[in-house]
Amino acid sequence: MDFYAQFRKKFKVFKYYVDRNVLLTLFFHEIRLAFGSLLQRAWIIIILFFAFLFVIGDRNLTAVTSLLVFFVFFGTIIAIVVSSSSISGELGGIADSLLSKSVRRWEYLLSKFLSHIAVVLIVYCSVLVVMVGILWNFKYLSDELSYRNLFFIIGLVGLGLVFFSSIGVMFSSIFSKTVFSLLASITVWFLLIFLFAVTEWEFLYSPVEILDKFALILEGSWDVDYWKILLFYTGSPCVFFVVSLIGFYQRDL
Amino acid sequence: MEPVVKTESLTKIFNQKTIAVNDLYMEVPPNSIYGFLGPNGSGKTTTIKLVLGLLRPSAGAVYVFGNSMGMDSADVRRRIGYLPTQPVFPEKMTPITYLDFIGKIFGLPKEVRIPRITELIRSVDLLPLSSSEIRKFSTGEITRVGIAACLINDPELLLMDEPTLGLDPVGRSSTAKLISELGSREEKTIFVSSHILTDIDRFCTHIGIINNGKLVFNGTIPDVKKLIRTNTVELQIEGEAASFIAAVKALPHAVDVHSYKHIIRIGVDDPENYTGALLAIFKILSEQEVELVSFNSGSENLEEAFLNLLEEEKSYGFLRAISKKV
Repeated sequence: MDFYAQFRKKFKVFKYYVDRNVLLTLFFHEIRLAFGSLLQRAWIIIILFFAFLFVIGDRNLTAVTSLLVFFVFFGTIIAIVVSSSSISGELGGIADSLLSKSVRRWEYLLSKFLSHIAVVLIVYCSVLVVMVGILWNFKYLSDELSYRNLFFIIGLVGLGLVFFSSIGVMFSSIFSKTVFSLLASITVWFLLIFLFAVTEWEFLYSPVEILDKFALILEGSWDVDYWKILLFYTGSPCVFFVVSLIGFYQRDL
Repeated sequence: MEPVVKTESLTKIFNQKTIAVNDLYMEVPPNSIYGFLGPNGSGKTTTIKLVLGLLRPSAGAVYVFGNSMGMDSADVRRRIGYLPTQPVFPEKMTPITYLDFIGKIFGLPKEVRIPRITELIRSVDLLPLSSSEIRKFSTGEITRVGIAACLINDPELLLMDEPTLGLDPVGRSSTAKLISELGSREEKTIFVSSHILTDIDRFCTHIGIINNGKLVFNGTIPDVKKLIRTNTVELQIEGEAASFIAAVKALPHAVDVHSYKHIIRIGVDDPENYTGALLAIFKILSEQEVELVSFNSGSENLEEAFLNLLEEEKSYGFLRAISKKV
């Protein structure tokens, strides 16, 4: 059996499993809807436009730095705004319709978390990989650059996006009205991003700190317990999910 | 036979302020078309959501197919179809993509799902619109998509919340026909909520009447009509009305005989004498030179029955009268 035939066979098995699994069905449905939405497409075009501008303008590592700054300031707010209407915007309509079928509440909630995180990461990783790829291909990056450290920074910013996306979903599951969920989300963004960007304050767990210490991380000389940052960024979405779960099981639809 | 839906002392209080459902005892018999009737704001939708497990009861319990319903009763809901009032669908989806999505949620394999979607789209007459986006549909077309969606899993119990709301007379008629067909064709139990009495009268076999969150009647349609029978007969005749009225007034059980415009209204003193009085009236009709144009027995009109029931319930008299039935 050739590779193509084997791939098709495996894909069919995968598709069969997806089609019969509620969580995966909801997850892929959400992703399809996200990329089908005009608003999401507009965001992606804006991000691509800026990424293109940065590459054309700088043609060195600064292009990557600029894009990371863009993601930390604008990517986080886009992620949090989009996700903060994910559940509250569906209450009394699509959410009721889905949960009146053979969908359990945790499946609905988990699909929301996973799909929003996945969409953010797909956009972020695609743009970053293409951008670094172009810079690397045209030899715009220094030979002495530590790609390991660069991808570590990229990974940290990605986790920051996951943090903001999941906090938005959590608020949207707690508040019945999108406007309250949006206000709460923007407040968190203001406290964790804006405040540290305009002041000299330092906070290890703010994504702004990653940008501030960009050079040190790249050199590998930032003397900090990275595990704490990693635990914060990976543990927080799990905590947000648990909080959402508790809240969502208490609420009436 | 075990009821398909059974509620015991079901109560729902929102925010410790609004009593939406109050100590509700209800039984929906299997293979029936159960009309759930009540004015706007009486607690119909809340009851349906409690039955589905979308709301948590403040007190009491709901049993569907003998299983206690909760928020995660997905296995029981697999056997239920639900049509909400004015259903909402995800944007950019067509009837085909939406039904396919719902079919996947119910875990239907492709070999079952695809033919089922085709069959449903045909049966609700959506074939010409099957690849158009749902958001562009009219209210009637959206309801038809909703009906198809709630039938995709071939449910044993169908919960329809005001399915005819916002539909034009043609849409109402076709929806009513569809419900009647579903109720008669297979072993299905259909629970339809509505405040439109003619719809309930048209296709339901059983009825539950709810007012201010309390079930004031639970039984068959003839039962409810009998219960609030007004013991009156309304006739419209052509010919010598005066002599007919005089003859009717002479009947032993006829009381309060009067005519208004073309309608002659005759009251009967006791429900037990109702059938006998009717026979006597028809005898007079055949003996005199008058022609019967229309006849209304006074218990035919469900709307009148419903209004009387609510009025009596308001003054608590009805609760005493039917205390054994509730």
